[in-house]
Amino acid sequence: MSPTTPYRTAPALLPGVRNRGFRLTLIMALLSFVAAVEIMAVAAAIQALRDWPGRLAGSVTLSTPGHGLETADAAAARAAEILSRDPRVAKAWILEPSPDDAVAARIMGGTAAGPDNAPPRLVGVASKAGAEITAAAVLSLMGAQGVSAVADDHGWWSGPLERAALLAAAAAAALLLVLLALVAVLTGWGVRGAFARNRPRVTLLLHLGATDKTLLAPIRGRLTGAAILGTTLGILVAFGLGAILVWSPAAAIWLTAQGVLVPPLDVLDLEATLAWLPAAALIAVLAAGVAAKAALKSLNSGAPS
Amino acid sequence: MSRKPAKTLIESETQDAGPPAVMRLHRAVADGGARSPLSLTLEAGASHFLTGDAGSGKTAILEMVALARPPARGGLELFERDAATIRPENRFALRRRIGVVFQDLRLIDDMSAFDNIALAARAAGRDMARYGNEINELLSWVGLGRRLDDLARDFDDEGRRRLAVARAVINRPELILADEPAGAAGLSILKLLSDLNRAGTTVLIATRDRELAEKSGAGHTHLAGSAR
Repeated sequence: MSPTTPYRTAPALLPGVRNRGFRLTLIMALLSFVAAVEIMAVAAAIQALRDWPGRLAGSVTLSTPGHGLETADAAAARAAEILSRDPRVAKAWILEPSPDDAVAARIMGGTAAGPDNAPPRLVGVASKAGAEITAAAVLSLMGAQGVSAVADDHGWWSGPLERAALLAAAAAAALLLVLLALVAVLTGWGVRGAFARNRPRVTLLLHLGATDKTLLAPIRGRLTGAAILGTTLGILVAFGLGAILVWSPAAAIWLTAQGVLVPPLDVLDLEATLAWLPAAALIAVLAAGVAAKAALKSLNSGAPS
Repeated sequence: MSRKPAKTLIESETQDAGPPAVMRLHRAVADGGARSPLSLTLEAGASHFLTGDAGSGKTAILEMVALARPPARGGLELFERDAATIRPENRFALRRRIGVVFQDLRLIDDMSAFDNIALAARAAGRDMARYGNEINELLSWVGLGRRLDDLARDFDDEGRRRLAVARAVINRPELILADEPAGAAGLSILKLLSDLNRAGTTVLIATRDRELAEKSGAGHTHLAGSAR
């Protein structure tokens, strides 16, 4: 035997921990997959819900049934002319009548029809940027000029849409918090399990003069690494599926045909999933640290205090 | 064996002068150990035996001194410091000054003799480059110099006890606690501990063999009674 030991390496303090992170990796991958899919779907849904009120904002639809001897067509033409002169209006135009209007008029009865029994005409009004004209302002203008009209600024539609977007965001945030809590619990569980499995060895190392830091480092490091690996894997799988839907419309169409609810995904929705990684990693690191310190304190509590 | 006998309770209460105490128990009762309080002072370089029947509380006292078990009553000073005032996370500093030969040895069976000792050095924060040769020398000293790479499980009882002594010594402790170190191996293990004591290390040995303690010429405290 050689008197010196140049080929030797220092023995591992806690070798049993090395391969024990597999279950944690798997669970974290599943959790992260769920979180990433949720983030993508909710981001797409919120984007869609917010998009529609944006499209509807700044436009007013005017319904002119006509009044007295003035027909609906004449009332619509006069309304469009009055509105075109207003400095806040970018464009005012008479919408083409459609067969639906007649159907609607019949359903709604005489109240919707003008003196010639024709359905009311619709006038679209688009505001100039930065000078939004409201339904009330349009009605005021019409009233001043003696044009009988009903105005709709689409608030009836955009309000519920905005509330739905808010609700979806709140529900998503709550679910993400639950998932992050699960990350903390599972990482803590993994750390406690690692200490429990290595209890005799950890106790021996404490008696041999190991510091808390020396013992914490391998367990916390390895399990945090397992948690981050699992998180990354889960996100990658979800990201890959999302990318297929974004860049392969055929896949989205096929899934929709199969009855799968496919959100209108965008590249930004995919990127939103990346926020989960640092959040989950931070929580895993903190939870592993807290659990490891608690476990070590419990093992160290036999000494005088 | 003894160079400096331990003080009895009466001596420790009437004599304040003298060399610094490595360990001082003052009417201490170990948690879960025997009910009888023990007062004992070990000066630097002393050798002392704790004797008593099975269940008399010898192991509990050694574990208390090793900071592995809290005292139920009384006080414990180690290296002139009150152990109760040391925060748990700072106990490592005292533990590094104490070498323990556990009754059940606590060797890692699937580790080599070299690694079992290296683990203790590493736990104490030492660099491999510095302790590698020391381990070789230590294993030669305990008679296992040719079995560096043998797994701990492959040693017989005497070999395992020698290995446990080598591990207890690697960090050059000032106090060695040995719980039934001889076992069936007989006097050869006690000879190693005696060598350490002659080199200046304070030694506290727990054994059921009262006759052995009396023959050694070292200090001796007999624990009567049994654990709760």
